[in-house]
Amino acid sequence: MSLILKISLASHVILGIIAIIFFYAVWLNLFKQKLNLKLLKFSSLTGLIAFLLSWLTGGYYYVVYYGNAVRPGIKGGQFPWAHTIVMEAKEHIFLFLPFLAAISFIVLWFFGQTIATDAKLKKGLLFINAVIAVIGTAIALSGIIISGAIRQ
Amino acid sequence: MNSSFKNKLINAFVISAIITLIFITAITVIADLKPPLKNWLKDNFNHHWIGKGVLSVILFTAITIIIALIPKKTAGLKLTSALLYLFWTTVLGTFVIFGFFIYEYLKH
Amino acid sequence: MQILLTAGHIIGTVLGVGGATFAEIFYLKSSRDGVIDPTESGFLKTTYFIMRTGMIFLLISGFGYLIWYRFTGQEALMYNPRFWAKLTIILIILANAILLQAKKISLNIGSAISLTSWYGALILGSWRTLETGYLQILIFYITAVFAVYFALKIIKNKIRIK
Repeated sequence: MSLILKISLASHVILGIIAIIFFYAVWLNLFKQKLNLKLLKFSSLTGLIAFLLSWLTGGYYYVVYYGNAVRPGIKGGQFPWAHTIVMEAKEHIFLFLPFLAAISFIVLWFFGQTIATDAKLKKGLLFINAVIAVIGTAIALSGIIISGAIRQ
Repeated sequence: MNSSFKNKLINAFVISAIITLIFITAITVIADLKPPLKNWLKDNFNHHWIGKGVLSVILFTAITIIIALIPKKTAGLKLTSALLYLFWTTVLGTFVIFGFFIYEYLKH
Repeated sequence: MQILLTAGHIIGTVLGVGGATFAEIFYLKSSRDGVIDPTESGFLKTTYFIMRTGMIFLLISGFGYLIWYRFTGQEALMYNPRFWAKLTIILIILANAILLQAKKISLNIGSAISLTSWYGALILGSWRTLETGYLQILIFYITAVFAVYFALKIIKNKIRIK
């Protein structure tokens, strides 16, 4: 694996984790009585940027390297389902995240002031950020399963 | 930006996200079932996954603009309802995609 | 690189496990009179912040380790049952924090889960020679949560101001 591919893969993973951490922080902080709007806005923006960068870096690694160099090994190894189910699902479900992240960011930035008094809006945002954090976590765990199946 | 246009624009974003996620789910399943579609994506975008990503972004942007610019006072759906619909679309889309690939694996 | 990852992971563990320990001590002290006053609440909030900082260090350095395994041909370690048990416990810590913040579980239950989980993750991370299955580790963990819950309940009753 070349240096640029290693940097792409490492960046994809770390940026993804950073994004998940920030959306988990939004989810957690939305439960508070006294909302810290600055923190919510900052977290959603940082999380969105991190997901977009993770998408680009992961996409580069996937398109340039994974298909020819990694996939055959997994499919021919002890755990072929790691590609056929887990990777296939992961690469498509991941596409949901940037759009969900954008929605969380947009709603918080434009309607942040009203969340404190609008219980329904707060509930909607809670659900969106929860689903981002949970799916993001599942995708991160999928990445471990896929990588672990290499060379086995 | 006046308040009513702002409300309409934000709603447009959310409705657009719902449609985009449905599109991603549909194209994932259909492209795997119909090789010509997968080949078309590969021929036009160098890789089927890049094609799905690019088309999703185009769709999201286009639908947002269309809904925001149609001369109706509102986007047609309350923001709070739209967010919950988006949540359920995400959950269902996740199960459909995951379930589809389990089915494909077991079938072969 | 490995030194950085190890340092990051140790810092995360110290902050997380230390924070969880002091959170429990402060909670027990605060609830002696049945009321948590603003000063006591302030101490608890500070320790929770420290624990969250520790968790961030652990997550980033932890995934850093996984990237390291990937680059050094040690991918098989990612299928180790002890590792997956530790990951499960980390997820429980994160879910527990949400449930506590959302007031869906009491602080008594939440603190028992938190304390057991942080020490559980520490033990699993340190005990490199542990050769046992994922389910066995989780059964032991769940038993430990109950044991810690009842032990804390006894301590709380004994130190309560009557």
